[in-house]
Amino acid sequence: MKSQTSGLRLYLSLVVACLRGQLQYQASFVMMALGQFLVTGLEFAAIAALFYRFGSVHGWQLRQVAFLYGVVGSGYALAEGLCRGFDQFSAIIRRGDFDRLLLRPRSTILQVAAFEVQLMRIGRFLQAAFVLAWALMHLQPDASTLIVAAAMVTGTMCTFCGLFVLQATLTFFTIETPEIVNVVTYGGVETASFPLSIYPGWLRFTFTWLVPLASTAYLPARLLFKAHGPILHILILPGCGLLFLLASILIWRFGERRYTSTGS
Amino acid sequence: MTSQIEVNNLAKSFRVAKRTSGVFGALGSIFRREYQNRVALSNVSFAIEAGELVGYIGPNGAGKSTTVKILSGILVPDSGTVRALGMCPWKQRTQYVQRIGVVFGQRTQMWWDLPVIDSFHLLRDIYSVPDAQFRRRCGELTDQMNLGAFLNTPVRQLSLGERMRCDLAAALLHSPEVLFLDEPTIGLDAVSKLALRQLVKSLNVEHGVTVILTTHDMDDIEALCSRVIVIGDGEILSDGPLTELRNSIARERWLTVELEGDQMFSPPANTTIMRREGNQVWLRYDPVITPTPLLISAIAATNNVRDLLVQEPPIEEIIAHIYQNGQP
Amino acid sequence: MTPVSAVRPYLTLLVARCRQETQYRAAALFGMATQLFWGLVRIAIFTAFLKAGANRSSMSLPQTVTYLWLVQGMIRAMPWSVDAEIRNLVREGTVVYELLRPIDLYFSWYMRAFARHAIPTIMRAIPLFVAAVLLFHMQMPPTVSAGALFVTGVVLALLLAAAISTLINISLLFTISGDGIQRILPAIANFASGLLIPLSFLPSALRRVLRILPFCSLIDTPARFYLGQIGTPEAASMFAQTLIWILALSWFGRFLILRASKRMVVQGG
Repeated sequence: MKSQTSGLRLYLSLVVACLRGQLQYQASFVMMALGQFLVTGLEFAAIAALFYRFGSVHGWQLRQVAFLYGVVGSGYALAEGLCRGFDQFSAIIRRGDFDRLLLRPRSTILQVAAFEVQLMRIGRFLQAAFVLAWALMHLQPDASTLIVAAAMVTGTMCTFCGLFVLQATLTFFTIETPEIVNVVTYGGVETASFPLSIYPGWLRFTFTWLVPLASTAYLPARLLFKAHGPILHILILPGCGLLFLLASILIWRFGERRYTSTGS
Repeated sequence: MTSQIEVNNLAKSFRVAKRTSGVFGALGSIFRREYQNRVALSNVSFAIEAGELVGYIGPNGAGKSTTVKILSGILVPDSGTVRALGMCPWKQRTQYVQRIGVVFGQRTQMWWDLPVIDSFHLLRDIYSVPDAQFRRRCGELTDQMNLGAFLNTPVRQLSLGERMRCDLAAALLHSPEVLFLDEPTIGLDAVSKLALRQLVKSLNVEHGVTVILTTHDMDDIEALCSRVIVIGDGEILSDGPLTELRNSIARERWLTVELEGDQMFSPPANTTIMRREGNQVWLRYDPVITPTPLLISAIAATNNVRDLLVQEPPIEEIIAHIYQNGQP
Repeated sequence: MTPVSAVRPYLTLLVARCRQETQYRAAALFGMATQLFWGLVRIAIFTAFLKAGANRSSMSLPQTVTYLWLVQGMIRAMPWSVDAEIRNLVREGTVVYELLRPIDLYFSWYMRAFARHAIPTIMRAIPLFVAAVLLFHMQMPPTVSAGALFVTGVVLALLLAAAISTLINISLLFTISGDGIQRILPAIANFASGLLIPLSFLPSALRRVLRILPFCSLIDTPARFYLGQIGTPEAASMFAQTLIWILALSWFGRFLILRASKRMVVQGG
């Protein structure tokens, strides 16, 4: 048996290929990234304006909400950048491109994830990262705070990747994914950017137990702000994001088996 | 010895959702749908030996692409078995697809905005082709298919003919033992068609690659295939050498005669008029009973002819024949 | 040519597009459910803020809730994206054939855009408002005249949305700057229309600037009519402002499309 190119290396070369294709349209890319930056930047401006008028929300100050917003925003932007193929999956199936991926001797997860990486997503990521950095400066972070923050971003990213994978899995069963799926993705970004305590019970339940955004963003942030002592034990919470992603991948495998046995 | 590909009693049907109308119909259909069964394959069996070049033809919806999808491991049949390269394609999909190549005429597997060579590099990584082997193979294919001039051109700027040659090379980089070609000449101009056919032929002869070709172009079949499998309505209607197929069922030729003006036309013996429109007449005849040169001179002697055109009946005609007569 | 026969092709186009838009009923239903969800999330957020500093608010909580529902109802009037069919026309180069038709390209695209905003808005807003009034604390307009001003404001908002949308569609004809316009215009529209935050919650200097721009007529102005915050005389001048914007943007769009088509004819696509 000859040795296989490692999955990570393959993913990277697929991603690089995608990006190189887009760099042929450099000027457009700059415009689109700027546009993305502006869209989310103005969203944050609206949040800042609310704080400017009302002062605080449920005892949270602007910097603290900015921290949440930065974690959720950059986690989401990373997920969108790294596995947008899942977000676009219904189009991939409709065009018949998925059959092509099945014809290759590699995992479909890897191939779909790298199918369409959009460089302009960097606009959104940078905006969220700026907000996060600004919020962190206020916290006067030590090394462990930074580690927790990085874990929160990673956990949030995994959760959103998992949501994209689940959304794509739905395509195996319905072909058209209804617009309502956006409720948990875009809706998740909006909801998790604020302290969860402001929401009614059903929303808190959804984003705690069904989609673990609470444990990758709100709960660790709350512990972080209250902490007087070692805080690395908080790291368990963002780990739920990883579990969620793994569970999603298992469900994807099941959906894929069903798809190849029923056909389109 | 067993064959390279053995297909036994393959059957597959699809569930097609019925469309329901109205708001609540559309809403309900997301959750619960009514289905209709459509049989794509009812009972398909054949065997292909290593090194064969087989044409797989049939009208649209006959089950061609279902068969190809099953044979390439991306679709699981309802019943029946496939043994190909010693494996069951859908059960050992990733191992199996490592040893086959597939080219779709309508779609490229290359990266649209990147130079051709970059796609080749990506495929090298996808199929884990060792570097030395990749360089040798890539050089071989580039020479053989004459790709040197546009290896550095982005795929979107290639002509269709150039792109098909590159796609063929792309499917061969990992040295597959079996090659599936799905409508490879569709949309190509005459010159590109000829070039592509020549390449496929030499791959088969020189490298011993087994080729399974689905097409609507009878000329592809004629130029390439020693054996033709005809499928219709999910069943194999005929399987054998091309000459046999032609001679037994589609020996006839069509002759279009364009007359000088709207004159009378009486058909020569042993021919039938299919249709007449204005000064054009369509005849069918059997070239063994009435040799073509004799027929043409007979017509030219008795009529004022402006133009003549001899054609073979289109593939749909042959299949219609098989339908009418059952077994050839 | 009589005026009636000159207008007829555009009306035919409009009616055909509207009819096509009414076919997406399932999408409208799902859209409405999505909007309900968003509305509830945003109401929770704003309620939390208002409770923290009720004395600093320019609107009462019930008014704010009503405003947020109006935003959810009007969301399809937002000029967010290019028309996918026009994008394909441009991408495949077949847009040149559009220029060969004996009708004004600007107005035919304008009609498409109007149908694309008006029909989904109506199909989603009415059931959404009914649900919100019955179940989720949305108020009715305080007076009949407030309701009438609101309806007029919505009609103008849709006409304006179509003008902005058409401008975005036209930007497809300009490669690089077009890509920017397609992203930047919707971003500004989100903020300046009141979609992200009611304009009255913003600092007054900023608010004054935003109320000169056209975007406030998309959501904020109709919402203020609905809440009875604006009297009839003031409303008249706001209608006039919106109309001026609609005319100015249409004129500009038509100017751009003529320029682009001259270039296309000269350069051959």
